[in-house]
Amino acid sequence: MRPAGKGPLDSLYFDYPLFTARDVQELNGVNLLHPVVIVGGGPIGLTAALALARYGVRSVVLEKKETFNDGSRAICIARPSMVILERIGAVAPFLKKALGWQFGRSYFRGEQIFRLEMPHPPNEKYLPMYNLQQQYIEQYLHDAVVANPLIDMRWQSDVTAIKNQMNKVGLSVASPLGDYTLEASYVLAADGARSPIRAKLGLRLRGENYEGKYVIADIRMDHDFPTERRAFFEPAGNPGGTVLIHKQPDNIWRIDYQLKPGESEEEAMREENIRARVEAILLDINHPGEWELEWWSVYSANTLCLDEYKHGRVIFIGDSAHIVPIFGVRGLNNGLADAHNIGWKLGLVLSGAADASLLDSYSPERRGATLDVFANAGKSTRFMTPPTRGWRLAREAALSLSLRHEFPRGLANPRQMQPYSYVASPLTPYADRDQEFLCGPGSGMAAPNARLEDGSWLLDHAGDGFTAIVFAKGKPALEWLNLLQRLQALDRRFTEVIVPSGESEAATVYGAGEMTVYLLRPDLHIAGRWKNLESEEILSTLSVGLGYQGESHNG
Amino acid sequence: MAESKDSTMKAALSFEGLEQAYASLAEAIDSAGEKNETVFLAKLVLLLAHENGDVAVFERAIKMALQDLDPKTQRADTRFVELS
Repeated sequence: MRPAGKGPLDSLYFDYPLFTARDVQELNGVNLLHPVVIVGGGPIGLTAALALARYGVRSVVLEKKETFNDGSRAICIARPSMVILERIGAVAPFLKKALGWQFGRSYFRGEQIFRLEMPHPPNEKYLPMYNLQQQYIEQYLHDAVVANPLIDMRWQSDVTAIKNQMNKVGLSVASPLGDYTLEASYVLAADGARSPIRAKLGLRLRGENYEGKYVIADIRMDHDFPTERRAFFEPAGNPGGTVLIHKQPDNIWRIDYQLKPGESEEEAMREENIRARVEAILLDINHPGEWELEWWSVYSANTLCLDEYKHGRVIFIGDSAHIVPIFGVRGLNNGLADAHNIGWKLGLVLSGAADASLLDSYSPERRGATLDVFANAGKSTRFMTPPTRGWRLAREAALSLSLRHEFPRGLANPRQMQPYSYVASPLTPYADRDQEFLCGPGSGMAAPNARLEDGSWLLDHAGDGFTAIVFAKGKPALEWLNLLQRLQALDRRFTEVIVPSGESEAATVYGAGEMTVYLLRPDLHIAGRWKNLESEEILSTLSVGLGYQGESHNG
Repeated sequence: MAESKDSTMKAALSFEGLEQAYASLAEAIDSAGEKNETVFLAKLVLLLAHENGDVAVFERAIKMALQDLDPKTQRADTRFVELS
């Protein structure tokens, strides 16, 4: 919502462009089968379109609205998401505008009880977290989409019907220029938490609702405090409720505050009440000066998801598949990981480089990530919005003890999002090789970065197909060259990165010795790692990673 | 942030153990129900004192638990607890 007298797009800092519907081929009687139609032009849908384009796969993006999100909902972009934005060729404007951070503070009755420090090792290119308003996130992705000839972006285009058929999906679309039907080999449903596609297919989210409600309000003020996450438990400015404060670009600050149990949402959402609560919170953080109200909304924590993310040829990505609590910044970031995961798989399948059965790994991998989020977010949500009297009392006891004692302070840790490990995925068939390593990232984990001797970043050398990182002094063994030919025959995008073994940052980070091999998936998760060259296992892992079910494939 | 220097307090519980204890406590308070929660908590404390077997540790823990109670509702004569 916005202050009285302002329209829904009347922002203090963001000029909303208005996009009109285009005259498209279907309105002129041309009805070709599209490889992919993406429903929803938010951050997740646009990321999926850009990921597919890396593989030369065309897509149509249908967005019901005429512009970007009416307010800034998601604001935190985690490091793994920055890697995804880099991989789809869109990270530059994000780095220029977003505010990077790694620290946070938690307070109880005004006293600091916890210092959050998210690790930022020197081998990582990006900070753990970046704050940026959702409108900018969408704008930067949209700029990249518009510049990409493979993506057909259609604004003001509403899907009114969808039908899963044997070999394709049929869609009916309504636009101001006329209604038309559209056919696609695959549909990605990125149409958000209230997903009309999900409803049209008769699917339901399952899980839990938490009762506690938070108001999120964006304000503009000159306020001298670094970009950190601040959490206030039992603050004088919002008695009985928790407050969170985040800094965003353009002098915009996000204030989240918890409503008291039983408090009327309708009352709380009235502008004068928003202003009074924000004013009290600002006085409490020593900001007696001026501020302007930009936008507000209300939020309650949910852990809900679909039982299965792929239904025939319709695949759910982002909030349409799962709704997660905001604490720990997992909504946007998990959605981006969904888009990237299905992006490379569908990209390889539709460009003829992988078998369609590869798509069956999407749901277990990404739903597994959602369930992992639920387990972690459950802990932080029970701390942020204690669901019962027992949890409220336990929290009060822990916070009270935290004032003088170190031991309970970790309970106030916001448990920020960690990238999920695909170690249990069928695409990670040789995870037991992890036992041969003393350190380094395990199978299924996101690959860490490292500085190479020439100053470049290790992961910048990875390709859009699978990538092998081979640690070798000088030239790798002849056996590797033979294997490389077979790997390249299976995956024409296959990339090798030879890294000196011994005293290099990469060898240390990866716990590698001479002829250690890491096989990376296109999303830079580790498909497998071998202390010594195990040609048949490496070949078999690649084969499985391309949907060929473990059989050696003669490409 | 006041640092704790509790030399006599044993750091017997790992953080994972503490998380588990925290969750079990919250759920047990709910199981006991509002009317019984005070008696339940008192019983729990006596049981732990018995298991711990050291009355000095117990006395000290009582004093620490009395610290930093909500200043608005705490009795004036217990507001400032000194640890000997």
